[in-house]
Amino acid sequence: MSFKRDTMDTSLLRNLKFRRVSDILAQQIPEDEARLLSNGRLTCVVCVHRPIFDNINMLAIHRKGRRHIAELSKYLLHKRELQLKMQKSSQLLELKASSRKSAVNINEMVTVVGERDATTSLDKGSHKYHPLLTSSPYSSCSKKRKQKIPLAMQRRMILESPKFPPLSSALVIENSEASPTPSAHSEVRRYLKGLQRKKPFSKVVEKMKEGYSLPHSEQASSSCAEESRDTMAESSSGLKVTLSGSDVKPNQEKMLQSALMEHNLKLSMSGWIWDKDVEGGKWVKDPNVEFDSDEDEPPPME
Amino acid sequence: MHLYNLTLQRATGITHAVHGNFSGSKMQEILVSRGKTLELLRPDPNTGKVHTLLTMEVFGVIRSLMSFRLTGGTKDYIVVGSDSGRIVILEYIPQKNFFDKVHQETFGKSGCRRIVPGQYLAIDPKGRAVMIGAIEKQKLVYILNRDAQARLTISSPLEAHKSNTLVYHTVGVDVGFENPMFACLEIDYEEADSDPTGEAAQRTQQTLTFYELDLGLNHVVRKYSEPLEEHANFLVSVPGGNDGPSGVLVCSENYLTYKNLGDQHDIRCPIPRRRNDLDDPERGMIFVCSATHRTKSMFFFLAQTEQGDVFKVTLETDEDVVTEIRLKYFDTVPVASAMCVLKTGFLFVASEFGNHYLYQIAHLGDDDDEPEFSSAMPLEEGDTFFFAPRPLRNLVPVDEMDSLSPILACQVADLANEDTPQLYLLCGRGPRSSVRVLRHGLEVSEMAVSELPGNPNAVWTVKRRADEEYDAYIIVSFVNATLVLSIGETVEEVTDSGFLGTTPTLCCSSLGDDALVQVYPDGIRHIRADKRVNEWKAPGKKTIVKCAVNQRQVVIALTGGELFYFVMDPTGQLNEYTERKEMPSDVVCMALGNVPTGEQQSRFLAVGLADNTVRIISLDPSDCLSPLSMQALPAAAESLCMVEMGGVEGGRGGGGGGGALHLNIGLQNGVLLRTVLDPVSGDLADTRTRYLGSRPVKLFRIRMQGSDAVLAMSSRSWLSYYYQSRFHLTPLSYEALEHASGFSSEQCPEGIVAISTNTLRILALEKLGAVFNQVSFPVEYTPRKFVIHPESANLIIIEADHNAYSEEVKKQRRIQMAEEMQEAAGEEEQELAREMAEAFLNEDLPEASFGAPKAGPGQWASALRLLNPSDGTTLHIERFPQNEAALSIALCKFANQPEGQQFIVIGVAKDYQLNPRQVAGGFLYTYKVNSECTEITLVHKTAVEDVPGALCPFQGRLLVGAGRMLRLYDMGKKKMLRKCENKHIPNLIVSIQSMGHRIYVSDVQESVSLVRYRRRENQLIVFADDTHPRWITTTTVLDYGTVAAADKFGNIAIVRLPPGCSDEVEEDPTGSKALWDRGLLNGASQKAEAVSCFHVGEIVTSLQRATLIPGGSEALVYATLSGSVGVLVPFTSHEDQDFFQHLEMHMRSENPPLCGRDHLSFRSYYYPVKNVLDGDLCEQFNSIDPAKQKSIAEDLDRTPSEVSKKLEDIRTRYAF
Repeated sequence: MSFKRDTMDTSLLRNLKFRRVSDILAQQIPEDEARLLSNGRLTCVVCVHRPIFDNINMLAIHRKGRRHIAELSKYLLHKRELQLKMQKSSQLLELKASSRKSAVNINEMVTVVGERDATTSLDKGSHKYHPLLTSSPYSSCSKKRKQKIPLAMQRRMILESPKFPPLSSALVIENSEASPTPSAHSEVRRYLKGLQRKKPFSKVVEKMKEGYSLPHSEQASSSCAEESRDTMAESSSGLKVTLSGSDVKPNQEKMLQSALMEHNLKLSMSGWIWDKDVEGGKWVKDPNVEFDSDEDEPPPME
Repeated sequence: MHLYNLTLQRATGITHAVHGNFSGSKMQEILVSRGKTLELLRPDPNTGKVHTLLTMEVFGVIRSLMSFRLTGGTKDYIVVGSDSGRIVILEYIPQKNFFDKVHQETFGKSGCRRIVPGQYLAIDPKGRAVMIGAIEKQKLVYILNRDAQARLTISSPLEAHKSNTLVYHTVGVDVGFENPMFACLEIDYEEADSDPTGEAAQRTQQTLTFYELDLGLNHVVRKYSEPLEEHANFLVSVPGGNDGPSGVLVCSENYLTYKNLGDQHDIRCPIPRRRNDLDDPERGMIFVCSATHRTKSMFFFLAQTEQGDVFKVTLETDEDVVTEIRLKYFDTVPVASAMCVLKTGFLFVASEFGNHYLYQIAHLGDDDDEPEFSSAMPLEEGDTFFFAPRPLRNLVPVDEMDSLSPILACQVADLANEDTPQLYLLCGRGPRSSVRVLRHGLEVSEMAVSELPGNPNAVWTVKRRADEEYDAYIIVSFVNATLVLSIGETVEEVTDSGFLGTTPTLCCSSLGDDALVQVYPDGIRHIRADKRVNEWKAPGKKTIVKCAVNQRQVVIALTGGELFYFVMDPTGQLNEYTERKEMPSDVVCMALGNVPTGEQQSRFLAVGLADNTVRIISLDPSDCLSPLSMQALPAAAESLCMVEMGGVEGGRGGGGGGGALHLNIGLQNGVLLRTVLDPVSGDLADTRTRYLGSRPVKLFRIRMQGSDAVLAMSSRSWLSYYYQSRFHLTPLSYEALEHASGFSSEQCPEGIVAISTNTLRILALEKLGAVFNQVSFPVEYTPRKFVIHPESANLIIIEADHNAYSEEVKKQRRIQMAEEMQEAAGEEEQELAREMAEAFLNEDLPEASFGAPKAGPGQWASALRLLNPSDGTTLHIERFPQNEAALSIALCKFANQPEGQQFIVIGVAKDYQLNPRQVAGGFLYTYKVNSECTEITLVHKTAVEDVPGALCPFQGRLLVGAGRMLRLYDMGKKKMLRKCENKHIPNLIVSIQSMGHRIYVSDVQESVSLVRYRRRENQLIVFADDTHPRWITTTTVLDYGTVAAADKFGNIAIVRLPPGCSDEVEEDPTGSKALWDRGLLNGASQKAEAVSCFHVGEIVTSLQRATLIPGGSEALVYATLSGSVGVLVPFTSHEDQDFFQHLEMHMRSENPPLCGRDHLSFRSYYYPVKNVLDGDLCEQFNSIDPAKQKSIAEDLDRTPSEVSKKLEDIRTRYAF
């Protein structure tokens, strides 16, 4: 069997050239706002209805559209909420960790409450949440500190950990510095200005194109891992310390991490709950969920 | 989204049937109502086949139907009581084949209401008055009369209202020519309503009330009312006047009572019961329908019990006073919604469920050994007569009309690996239910198949004389010989026919009155009646390549494209026309039309040339062989056929008439073109195209039901015919054929003789007009749901019957009853009792014809069946214990199980009571199924608290709707493990569908909720729901945010999430309430919008998105309880939508529905119709008056033929 061409080769080449040029000339698209699908088409991740495009050019046109901009504001809002939630939970974690610590040397703590050095209290950030005190005792010093300590500093420390892309933290800093709820419009504008700093999407496409020779499953799994990363960021937070501590190669680490996340997701889907209250965290059974009678421990990771 | 509604298969269940001489001839016809269509049937008294004369959609609910005849008239009229708030009188006009609305009188609001008449109709047997009654209070009487021109007139209504009265049945009492009288079964609830203690309600008795229409005073009076002892359900009018004693038979629980005015005593006779019946002996027995047969000398009634037993009821009289009721067991037929006894000796039984039957009454049951029961026989109170049911003795089944009603589930799939998908349906109720496979195509009955000595090329049939009814010879042409077979009692070879046997034949035909002609490559052979033979030889070395022949003309084409024309002169001589015609290129095919009646010759010759054209050449003596018109084709023509089609069909014996001349062109690329040939200019216009198959299309003219039809053969054979004002092009459900010709003999008056490889076949097509050809496989209980096992293409069906015993319990009961029989017998009867018990145990009455024993409410029997749909074999049957009702089924794979292992999960309710809904619990049976789907093994059984009404596989786990709880189950070792639950569905989950992360859950009365499963939190969250309370029967997901849902009031709605709707919601966005304490009324924060709404008028039980024809586009296929199948087709262009919108609008105003209901208000019965156009109404365009057609088409800026082409196009693009 042979393939019959129904167009001239020259016109095909010209088309390809045109496509290439327009790809290059296309607007800067950040890597996390579009996704390359397995069939080579593209989708906009910002829009909830996930429109499908044949090439970057079409995507770029879509990104200029009114609908996309409207979706973008919603997307940003959602993202900010997510960030906030993440901050809250991480703060809570931090607090718990420190309160446990404080519980250990409780006697010592009680004695030093009044005359503690300001710098140490800042580092620990726990002096006014002492477990035995229902409210923080009055101290002109500490009150002042409370106003001065920017929450963002704590957040920054967490956010700047290698798990999170640097730019989102920049955004959060901007947020925290600005008025608490900026208008959606201005936010979008500011966001659009900051786009250039992001990694361009075209590079991802290039990389994928180079990787076409790779077996499909490998690609898929890597993209899958990427996908699950954001959803699982929170639940795996209890375990990330051990991971980052070991010095495995970055690629291997990534795979291990994604496998771990998969495993954790599987556990939570089958009714196990990650109990953060227990030291180091522990998987416990959800009382409303049924298990096989011999399941006392969650199945180990394969 | 704009949709177009098309009915593929009209409703097949019958709700009412009446008989009469509607066409005014001696023929008796049956008029049936199928819910919203009226259909006129005519049983052929010779063959016993029932033919459909006319089907008419009325766009309203037909609630009652009656026929009447004015005194001294010969023609019956039809009265229709419908939901239109109007009384409508129709007359059938046989010449034009349509129902004429003679009268339409408005009396009330539209809709099926309590106090608006329409539910009951009663006719004075002498045709002088009609009473139309409501369920409550209102009754109106109209006087029917004639005016000076002998036209039917109708008076203004006379009221016979009585408030606080419920009516059960009304009937016209036969009083001869006295004042018309109507009998009603009524109950007066006034006292019961005002008595708070409820004592009066206990005391209230049903009454039999007589209303008299005083013709002199023009007034209706309530003449007489009498309380009844038993609660009655219907009345039968007894012939009166000179023919009988008059009065009524009151059918009540366990008793049949004769009542009449005057000094007549009540005559009461118990309804006989089956001897040794497994039924509960305490259960009452009622008659459900009856038919009256009356001649000048005698009359009798056939009354049917709810078990299907028919009794012949006769009355003994003494000087017009009834002395005795006699009952005799007649036969057992399926339980009917209506029965008609025809004068020709047929009994028409319109079954309540399943196929309808026509029986011949072979015996009247007068002189057999069957015991006769009489009211005069002394019996103790509460005692009754017993009889033994037996196979048919007095009735002989002669025809069976397929009925799909009720359809319980339907799936479209190509399991048989044909290109066209099949429809798999679960039909029927109880032991008469079946699984049916529907294929698009005409059913072909094979009359004969005989092998031939070689592979023939062609076949023809010829008559010896033109006026003979049947064909005389079959001529079969081989590569180098011709075989002549004569048709008689048998078909055998003859040599004295005059045909040349040593050469292949190109064509042969009868010529003139009594001659024959054979065209072969070297010449033409004209065989006269006295066996004289005239031969014409082809000149030089040229041979004949193509020819066309009709009754008087012969045209041949020689190699090189030269045409010779011969015409028969009045002496019977075949003369060559002086000129010859040279064609510009080779002739590939030719066709001549039939000689029109009253003319000497056909005026046109169509010639297909190798240059991809068809030319029309005149054969008119004035401009003979001059070209008239030319049509370019997309590919070379293979075959041509000129036929007259359209006009009045069914012109039996007559030559059609009034139709247009159509030229059918079969192309080599498998396409059939049908064009209209202008009878004056010979121009070709109005071309319709249809792809038939991969092989070149060969065309043959045959006769079907008295008019011409075209048989087209490609890789599949098709029949193009005109039937009920519509052109049909339907494939034959038969293997590929090569050549065919019409065939007519005594055994087969309208058949086809065809060749296929080396066989000669005689075929008959009986069910013209049918879209589907069906194969039916019986099952035991009512099939409820099924899934298709995709690897093996087997069906997995759950069956469940309420009020039934399972096999095991039946057996136990039998044994128990046999023991009781023996115990009850006395000492000396022991031997006899043992014999009887043994006979009883061995007795085998097939439940399909005698019905299953009724076990009482709350009793269930169910089974799981693996069925191979290609041959109907049951591969495995798993029976569930008594009182377990199988309600839901799913075929699923579990993520925590080995890959590829499939499981069947069955949701079963234990001790399920329907009303009020109560259940003792439920189970999920999990079976492992092998890869061939031939065996299943029970893995485990999981208890659930409520009715498991719906199951759905979801992401490697199983979603279960248990009562109102939506749960996610995973496979466990000893049972299914509940992993997650949502309790926010209001009442009862009836269906669950899923796509991606979304779950679409339907509630029994609160429409669809959209649920999202949040994996991380392991939660099911309702993120959107519908705004309307829809009582869902079935749903299907159209896309990620769109669901089509059908409800139990006969609506289909499509709901869609508005853009920007997100499923990423928290369980409670306000944060003020916890997950578990939200109220029932607190619906989801996001609401779906209704995109389209449509009232189908029948309860839709199945919805599916599917393509019905290969290469076609997807449509939404629905099947209804009444047995109809339809599609909702999306419009692809705005122009089309606009066109049909306007056409529908014009049709609404120009062609108002027959029963007086407004079309728009019918389609908006419950919700305003939205974005759906009614194709059924639009297609009536083809059957309305041509003048109206023209005016509508003009308003649309088109011609009528363009409009009908559009109608045909949209139908063939999606369906058939």
